[in-house]
Amino acid sequence: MALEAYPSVPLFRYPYTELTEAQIAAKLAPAAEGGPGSKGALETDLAGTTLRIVTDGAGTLAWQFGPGNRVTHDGATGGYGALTLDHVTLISHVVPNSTRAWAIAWDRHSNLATVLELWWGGGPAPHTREINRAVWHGYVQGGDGDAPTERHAPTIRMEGRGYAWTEDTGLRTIEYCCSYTYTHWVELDRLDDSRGYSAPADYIQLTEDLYLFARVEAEFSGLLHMYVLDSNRLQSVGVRLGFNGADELEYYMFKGTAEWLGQNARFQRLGDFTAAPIPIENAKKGERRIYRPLATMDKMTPAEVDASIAAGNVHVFDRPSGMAGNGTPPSGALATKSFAVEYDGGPKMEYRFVSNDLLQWKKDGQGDWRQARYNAWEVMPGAFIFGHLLQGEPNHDCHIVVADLDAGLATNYHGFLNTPYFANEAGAETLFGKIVGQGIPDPGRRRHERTRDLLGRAFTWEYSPGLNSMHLYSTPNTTSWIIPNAQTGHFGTEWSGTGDFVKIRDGLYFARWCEEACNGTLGTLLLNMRTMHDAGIGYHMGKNGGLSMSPVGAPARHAGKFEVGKYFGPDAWRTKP
Amino acid sequence: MSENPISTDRRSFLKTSALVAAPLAAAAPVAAFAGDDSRAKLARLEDERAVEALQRKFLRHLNGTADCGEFIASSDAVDLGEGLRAIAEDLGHEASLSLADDGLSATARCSCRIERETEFTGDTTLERMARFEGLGSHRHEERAVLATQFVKRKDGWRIAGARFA
Repeated sequence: MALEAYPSVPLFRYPYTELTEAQIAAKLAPAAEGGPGSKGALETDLAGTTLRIVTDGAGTLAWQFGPGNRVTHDGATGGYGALTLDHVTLISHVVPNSTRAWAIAWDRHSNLATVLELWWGGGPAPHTREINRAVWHGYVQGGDGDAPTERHAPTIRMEGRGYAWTEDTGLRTIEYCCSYTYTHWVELDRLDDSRGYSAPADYIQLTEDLYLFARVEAEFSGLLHMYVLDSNRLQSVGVRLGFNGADELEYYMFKGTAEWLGQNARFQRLGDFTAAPIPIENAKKGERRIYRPLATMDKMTPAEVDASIAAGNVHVFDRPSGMAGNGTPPSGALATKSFAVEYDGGPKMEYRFVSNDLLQWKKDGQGDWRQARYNAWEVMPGAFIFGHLLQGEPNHDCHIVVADLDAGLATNYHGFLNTPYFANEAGAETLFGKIVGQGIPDPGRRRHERTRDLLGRAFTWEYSPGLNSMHLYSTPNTTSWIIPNAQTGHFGTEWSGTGDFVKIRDGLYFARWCEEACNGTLGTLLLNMRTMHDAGIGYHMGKNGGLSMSPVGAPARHAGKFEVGKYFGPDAWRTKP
Repeated sequence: MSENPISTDRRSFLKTSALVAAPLAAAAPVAAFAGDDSRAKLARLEDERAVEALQRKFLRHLNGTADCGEFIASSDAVDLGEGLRAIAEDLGHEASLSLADDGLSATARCSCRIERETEFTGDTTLERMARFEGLGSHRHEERAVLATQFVKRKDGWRIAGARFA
């Protein structure tokens, strides 16, 4: 496909170019000479200043600032940019004739400084185009006084916060700071499908109200987006550095203003402010835990999928699931019932529930009754979620259905394999329909509807001892999941995929997430916000586990709700392939 | 002999043991007791003590690496689930011991605090992400009731079954 600076397909589908170091060095050369661009004027009052920053891990680093925007570092002179937010100055420059750069946050009141050493190539990032960073804390050397013992430091304090930023470029971004090592951001202007994405982030506390934030769009463009933010004034100064989808260098500084969206609950023990990530043994400079799900997911061909299933590697509710250790037991209340579900523009499914875990189905009246194993949960009286495979369908389809027998309404997350990307990756479509059966009311033209009641909400899920997560429903079409350290409650790694959200009743919601280019699972849940528990079903195809449908179930905690509805248009739920 | 099994909780068991222990220490030989009834009572007390000792030994073995084979009646007698790492009797709850009328079998129930370790070896996204974060396993504590069945053989008492109720 033609290169696009901001892809028209989801970022996890875009074939980012594997740039070489030589290509990157060539693209950086003008920026090293001229410094960053900006919409407004950059500052030049550093002229004549020499900053000697004593760092705790990288020795003493020196920058000599000359007239205009010239800076000399390590014997090389080029252009720099600087912007100050209150008393913290953010400085950035690219080292001439190299693939290296620096960003410095200098607190002029305390003389503490945090330096981000930046480079492309040589790792630890596996993609040369993905910027590496090492964070060094220290102080600006000067005067006769004692060296300060304080330092800027990683912080847990920003975990759970949300901001809607508008840069002086006019570009708007929602930043959900869901964890202390990851962020989830939504480009409201550069991307047009209202998706959120997740990326590793640094959160550094500079003062009580000033923070340094840095996001590296790992697994995608590899761009760095960083800023100093004032959490009271809701202002920022920042720098963006890296290569967009068209492999164009983006290097500019910006000022921003934010709308405060709030802060979701944190789940560390009260009094625990630690923010040191779980260490990596023998870590390389700048190495941190960056989740790369595409690299680790099973990737199967259609023939491999078909062969595995033909060999009987199929498991439908036949083994325990760690995703339902705290789940509720299946219900037998559908046994002996019969009804049909007529989906709008979709199939007519006839059902005979012959036992607690066996049903017979017929699609569009065709052929004989086919038997399938199912499980069902009655999550609210009269409202069930059940799921089964449609054996014989070419894409090994499943139906995961919420049937409200009191209302005569049904919604189906129809799952299937053989997406255009990976044969074992689950795709899904949402079907709305009505239930036809004895004693079941006819809803007429009424249907379940998509909802924004869950938009901006976050829930924790305690699936099994040690297996917990938080969902953030960040956009009308995005589900993000964040994984905590079970011992400490620090939320860490995060990822996200396509979501869909349907209101079943007041307080009862049917949600899904697709783990596209990431393990390939279709996850579904029926959330009862009155009992704060869900029941759901996972649909997955993998090399080891084969084709499976398995229970999902956990008690929930409501972590909070960001009011973000106004940022998304009426069609924002629509997703692109 | 009584038609009903003798149920003892921990306190009654200890109380009975103490009461009997003194004459035992003083007069020792079983034969010195007058009449069959006393002899039978003494035999039951000895059985109860033996069973409780076996239960304690069993718990010690579960917490260590020693092989329980010497006092397990059959290889499938013990099923305490995956990942049991530690077990301790919860002394805040009464344990109970019930000896069958014929004195050839017994059951015991005791509240325990147990620690299990779950290895996150699966392919679910959550397990993959947990492993990625460096959390390949998780230890957690549970409360459980250990139900143990005992059988008396020629060479002494054996554990015929152990499950968490």
